[in-house]
Amino acid sequence: MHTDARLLPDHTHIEGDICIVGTGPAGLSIAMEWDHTPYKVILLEGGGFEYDDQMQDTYAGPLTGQRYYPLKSTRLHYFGGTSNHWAGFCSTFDPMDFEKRDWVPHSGWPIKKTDLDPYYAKAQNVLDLGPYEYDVQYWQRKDPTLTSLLETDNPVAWNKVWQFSPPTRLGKKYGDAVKKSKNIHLYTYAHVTEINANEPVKSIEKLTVKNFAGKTHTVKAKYYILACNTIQNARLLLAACPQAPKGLGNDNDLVGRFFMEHLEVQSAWLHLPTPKPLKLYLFQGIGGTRMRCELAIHSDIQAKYRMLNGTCSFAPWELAKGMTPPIKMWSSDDPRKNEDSMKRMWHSHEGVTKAEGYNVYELKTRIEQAPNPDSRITLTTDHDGLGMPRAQLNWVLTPFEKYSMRTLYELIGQQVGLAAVGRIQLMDYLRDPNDHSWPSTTGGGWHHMGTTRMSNDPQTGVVDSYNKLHGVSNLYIAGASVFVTAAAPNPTLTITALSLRLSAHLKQVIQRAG
Amino acid sequence: MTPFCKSARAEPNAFNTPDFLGAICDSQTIRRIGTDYRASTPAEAKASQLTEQLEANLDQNKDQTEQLEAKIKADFAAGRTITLEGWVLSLTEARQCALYSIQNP
Repeated sequence: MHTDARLLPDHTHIEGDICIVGTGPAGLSIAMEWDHTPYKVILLEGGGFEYDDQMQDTYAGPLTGQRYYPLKSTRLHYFGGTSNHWAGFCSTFDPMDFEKRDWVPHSGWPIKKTDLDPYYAKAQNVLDLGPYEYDVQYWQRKDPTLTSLLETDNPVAWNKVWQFSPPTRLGKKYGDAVKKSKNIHLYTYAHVTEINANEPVKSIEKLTVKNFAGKTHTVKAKYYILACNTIQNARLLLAACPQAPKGLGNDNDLVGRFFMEHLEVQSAWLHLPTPKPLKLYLFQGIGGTRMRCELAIHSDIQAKYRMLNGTCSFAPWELAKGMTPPIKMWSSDDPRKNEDSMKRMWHSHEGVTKAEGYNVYELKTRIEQAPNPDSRITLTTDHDGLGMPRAQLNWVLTPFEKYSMRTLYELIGQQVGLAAVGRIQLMDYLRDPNDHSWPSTTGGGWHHMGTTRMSNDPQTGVVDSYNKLHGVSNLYIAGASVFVTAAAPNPTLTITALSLRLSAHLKQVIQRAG
Repeated sequence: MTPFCKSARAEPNAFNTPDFLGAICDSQTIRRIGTDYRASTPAEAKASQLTEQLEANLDQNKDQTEQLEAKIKADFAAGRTITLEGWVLSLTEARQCALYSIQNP
């Protein structure tokens, strides 16, 4: 069922068993797991069902450090959250992404890839993907024309599969089901501004929600899940608990730190002596599933070269040249204008790919950012329209990311040369190993991660391996803020899988508690 | 763009003709790569020095182009690569470019 919190009498008291804050991929995927259960689920959305600029403005905040997109326009503050403008790119993290890597400071999750596998499989359905198959040979058996650039058993590089969601707008997909649900109570225009804990901050007692209609309400539940975006989760912990002035769960000064993005930058060209279609690396529809591959580096080679995990994607140079880099295109505070600009540019560069293929492909990097405590979210003294301190992002990159990008292409260049299929040419900014500067084209994938990282040790993490806030018995965090490392893939599939895992765990907790 | 294969002023031979690279880039690029190699490797700045390196371990009774192709492959396999003008190249083909740049200024 649905209630517009603007229409409730002021100071309404709302109660339930579980309160989920946020209706993006994390919040909605969890909520739907509780439909038709005996538990009353309170689902809070700060905005409504459509874009609302006044609500969107609560996401605005200043930027320092590496140039970045305006914060107001990177996330969407209405039902369905940022799934309302995501592009649908999905792939799984690699087993190595969860491991401690001695060359990547602050790496190592308290869970393994195998812990997530069952939930990845389930998340495929939430995001309307194909079968849980990320082995390239599965897809090559379906379409034998999807030949690999390098031998499939190449010891250095491998083909990492991506699948593409339509992309699913989760608000549209689940909106009717939520409204019809008897036990999920959706409140729109219920923006959390305060998290009230008991003394001495061992459990949460209630939340305060506000809206621009001037209404303030309280929400009480047995368990709370903050399922907002990475910046908002950290912002709420830092700003919203009067009983924890230094920040809820922030005894070790970790909340807001380790903000990560994926570096997505045009980096090199692949030159071929004769045109090749490279179908495997371009979008393909196979049995109703859209997929493609990117080239990745095997984990033992990453260890040998002490590099970060990243991939390279392919675009025919003939079609890609002249495209404005996203960091220059996505410059407005209004996400709708940015999206329109992006779509116009994509359409203007669209073309029917030639069956015989191309001689030159542009290679674009998608690489993890190393966890870095100085890359962080803090609060400003400025407040948004609902009285919350705004979030500020200081995005910090290091020479490690650039070294890893260069090494990625040098390794692929060696393999392409060895196979005598072509040669790799690095773009200008990657050529000098002593140049640690970033070109003006450097941007992120709009993927915000880190800030409430997962660790079983409160000294090194904000939440435990089941997403529970350390030191607080009934508050969980869902979303990419719990990521310890960023891996190469776009985060939505992993956000959804982790959320489903949290949901399953919470069902056990609530059942045990009786 | 001048195709590499039609650009040579000096008589093309196995040593000054990076065949594979010549199929994907023009003569000016080959020349720039070669010049860059000579600048970065002063000990191989002369034609005689480059020829000596290229001839090393070649069997004079066998096809030199084929042997140089094998050398290029071995370079890539062993990681004996160098990045010049952004191109990730085998050391052998970088030397071929360098020789080309001397003989076709």
